[in-house]
Amino acid sequence: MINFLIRRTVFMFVALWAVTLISFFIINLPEGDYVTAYIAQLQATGSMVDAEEADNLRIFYGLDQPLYIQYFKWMREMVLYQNLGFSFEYNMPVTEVISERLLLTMILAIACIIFIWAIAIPFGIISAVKQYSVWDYLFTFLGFVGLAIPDFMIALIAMYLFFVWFDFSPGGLFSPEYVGVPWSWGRGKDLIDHIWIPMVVLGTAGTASLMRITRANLLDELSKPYVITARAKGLSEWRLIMKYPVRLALNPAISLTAYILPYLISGSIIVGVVLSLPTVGPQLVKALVAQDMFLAGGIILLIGFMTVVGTFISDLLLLWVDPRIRLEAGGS
Amino acid sequence: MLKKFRHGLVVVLLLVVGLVAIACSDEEVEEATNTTNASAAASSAQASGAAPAATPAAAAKPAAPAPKIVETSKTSKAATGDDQAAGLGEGDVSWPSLSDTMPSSFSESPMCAAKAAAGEIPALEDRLPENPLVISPAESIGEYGGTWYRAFTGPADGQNMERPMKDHILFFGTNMTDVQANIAESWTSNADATEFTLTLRKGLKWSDGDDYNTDDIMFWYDHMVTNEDLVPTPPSWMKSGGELLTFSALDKETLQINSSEPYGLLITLLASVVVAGPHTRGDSGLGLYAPSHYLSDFHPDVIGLDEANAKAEAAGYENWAKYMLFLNHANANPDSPMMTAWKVVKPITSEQWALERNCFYYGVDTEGQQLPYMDNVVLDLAENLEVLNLKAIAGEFTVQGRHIDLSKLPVFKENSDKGNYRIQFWRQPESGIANLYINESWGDGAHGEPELASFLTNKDFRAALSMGIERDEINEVFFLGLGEIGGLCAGWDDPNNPGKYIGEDYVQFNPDAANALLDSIGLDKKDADGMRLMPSGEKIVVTHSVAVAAFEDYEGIDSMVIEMWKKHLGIDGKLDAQERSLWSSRRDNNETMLNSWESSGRAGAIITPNHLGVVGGGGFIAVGASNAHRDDGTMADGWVGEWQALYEEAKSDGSKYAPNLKKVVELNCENVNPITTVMNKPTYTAIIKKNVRNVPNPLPFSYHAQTSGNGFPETWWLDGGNQ
Repeated sequence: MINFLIRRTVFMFVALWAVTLISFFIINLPEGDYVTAYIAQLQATGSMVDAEEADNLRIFYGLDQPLYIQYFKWMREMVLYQNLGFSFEYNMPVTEVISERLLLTMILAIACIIFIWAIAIPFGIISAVKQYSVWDYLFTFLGFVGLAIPDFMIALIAMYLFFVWFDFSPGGLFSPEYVGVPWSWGRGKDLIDHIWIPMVVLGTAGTASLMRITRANLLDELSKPYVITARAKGLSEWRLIMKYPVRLALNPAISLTAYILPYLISGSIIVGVVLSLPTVGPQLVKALVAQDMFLAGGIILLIGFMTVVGTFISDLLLLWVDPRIRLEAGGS
Repeated sequence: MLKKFRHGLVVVLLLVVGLVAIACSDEEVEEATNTTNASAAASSAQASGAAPAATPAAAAKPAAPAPKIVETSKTSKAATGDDQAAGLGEGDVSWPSLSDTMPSSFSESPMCAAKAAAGEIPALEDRLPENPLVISPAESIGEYGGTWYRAFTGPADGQNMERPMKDHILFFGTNMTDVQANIAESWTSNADATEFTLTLRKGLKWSDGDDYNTDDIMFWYDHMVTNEDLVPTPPSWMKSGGELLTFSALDKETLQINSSEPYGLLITLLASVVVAGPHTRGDSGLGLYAPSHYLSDFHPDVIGLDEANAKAEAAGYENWAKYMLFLNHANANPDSPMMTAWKVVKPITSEQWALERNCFYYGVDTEGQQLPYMDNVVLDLAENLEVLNLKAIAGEFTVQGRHIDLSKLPVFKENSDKGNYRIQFWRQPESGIANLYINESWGDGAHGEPELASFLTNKDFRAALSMGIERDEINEVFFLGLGEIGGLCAGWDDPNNPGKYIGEDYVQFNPDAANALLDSIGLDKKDADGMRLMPSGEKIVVTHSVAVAAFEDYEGIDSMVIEMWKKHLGIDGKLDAQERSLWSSRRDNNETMLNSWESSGRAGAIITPNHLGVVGGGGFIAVGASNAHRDDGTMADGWVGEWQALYEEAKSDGSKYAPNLKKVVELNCENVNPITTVMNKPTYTAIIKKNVRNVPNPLPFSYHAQTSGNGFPETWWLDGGNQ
């Protein structure tokens, strides 16, 4: 058991280091650097930067040094000072730039997971128990529609409908008076009022797969002898299903959660851009366009970190939920 | 039976989905129809209505280097816009100006009065300088109050508010050429333009109430721009004759600048965005002055290197220099004192960038009311431009021109009553949207071919190409017919050819004249396909280098031009589309033959010579000559050399600035380089609430005069509050 945990932790750090390496060099693949991108952006809005100013910026940001030195400096800062680097565009440390957005991203992701569970598991159970009923077809149909329509499309349609019906442009997660102010009860309530559109938009796609998995697993379990035995012994149908087969059928739901977390964050990038959400997604896109490499690298690293940690947590959860896995891991 | 029902349900659901889809697609068709109607209407209005009048003859008026405040000439704004002809914007022509008459008394906004009453700030007479800047608004004396709602796209969008809040020491009038007083009330220079004296207003205050005087300029000069850790190389405007300008403070209000060589252009540069103030340039350590009382606490020259670095590290910055640039970046750091009409209260790095009135602002209206009129400016972060434009359509902005997408004009017009806004076009007088720049130095570059290059330097060849373009078609296809057909010199009478401007004949579609010219310069032989051959027998092929994903569809425009030249002139061409930064580095290396790009308004030809000029390296017209000029001051031969000489003369002799500005642009026109296609597309499509007053009409646009800054937004007010 201890061995298992140590092994997983070591792998986690190796995986994270690989993420830093890959993300840093991929970000630097395109022609040019932050300064070229910055100049291009200024030109697009009618401003100009002369060659001297551009050189000053390069020296100042250390972009005149070779790539491996830039990478080494980045890693040193990270290991020694837990500092993710310095965002060129914001002229601020990366951690400061993304902290608020990261928090909102996590809140949105958790809300989505809860939404997915709240919809998919009950519907999956009903679909399995009442197999081939109207409900089974209806939920399956809705699930596949959700899966088939890209979420940015749903976001665009939602935006259009809201604009036409309510004269309201659903951008962001807060009403104007709560944007960029410290947290308070009012702000939390305002967030709850606004979060459901992105939550539903993002959640629809994840719902279908979890619903189908729950349904399939439950169907497998329902025909097993222990269910028949329990039923024969006179256990109430409701209690019987919830206590035994459902518990087993939930295993994949838990392991799936590990993958849902990064999916939600990467999936929320496009939706975030469309709905103008203050999450890390749109910021990542902008950082990549601007070649603000430490900001982009920092965000990618955090997403990688969440995936690795998510997997780790779901493994632990499985250990806890399923004695069979626990024994296996302990035995090895 | 039951099974049938189930299938039926699925069918019904599918039908519902289908119906929704059809309903949505109907909507789109309707919009598309409107698009064509509106663009047709706009173009017919342009064709039948008032012929596009000459835009403000901006560059024609000499900038008076006299210390007196220049009254903006009402006669110079000849334009009654074609915008009105197209039914956009309101009819009366109105510009703000500076006034010499000091109001008899001063008054303040309720917001500042309340702060003064609460003892947070001193009384008004202690906040205003002895001699405030008196602005006569474009239409009317305003009333206080209201919020200016806008949107921005992120921390790199600082220009969004830097433009309207110009904190330059001197600034331009609305016509973008006359230099006027701003923070400095007057200026003089000696006869040979080597010594300049600027007099600041007495009693100026920073937004935190601290005194503003020459200490702030000298702090910047001694401790910021000349500190290599902060600014590795000083900006080029600070160098004259290879030496740094010397600054000295004669007293708290008088600054003297000395140059080793004549530098008459300096005053114009001080007013322009090239020098600007710390709000615009502070984040790179530039901007002529800096809040010395605030920054001293963090500067190693004052507190020692170790403590400065310790403070920076405590705040999460690598070293003091990075921290200082953050501290001096007022958009990101609301603690940084400002000299602008509004000051930042929520930073640009948040989801909402907010500003409130600066109760220490030095500007008043002609009745003595302290400006600005509007209390707050609130900008919401838009993660993408579609969201921003949707908000504009919904009427959520008070005044916004930046980021508004011209191609959505039909939708903007359709919703203007519902959103309660009007639309005004802000154009750059005589700016090219998609110019074809012939690189006359191509033959000297690595990829140059001597025979083909000899045609590029031939004016008749360029003139023929220019006359082979059907400009109306490009205007209709790419710009909804909203551009204008004309040359860079439109509005300037040609003394040798009265009634016409220089180059007017070359911007007309005239294939007969063009073909005659081509025949006369040795391109009279053709191959089997009708394409012209050079004397060596080789086919002449013009390669158009364009950047992909630029802000205009240069690929599309150039493809169209290539087809026109093939069809009308028999000149073969090919398109070479490149990723943008690759394109610009190849262009700067003198590798490309013909480049497509915009040119900003002709009024900026000398201050910002990046487009029309052949100086300072890179550029478009003669890249090799431009690079040589930058590297060792070599002057080229021919008209390119003339351009360089006129530029040098204007730079050293201030009185030559305005006449030479006209002369250099005339050289471009006469020599048909660049070949202009469509001109004067609205740079900004400004969405303005119907009750906003004092927005100048027309408002000419430029980068160097920071439009909308040259429209004096501190005088804009809301008639009846926010609606």
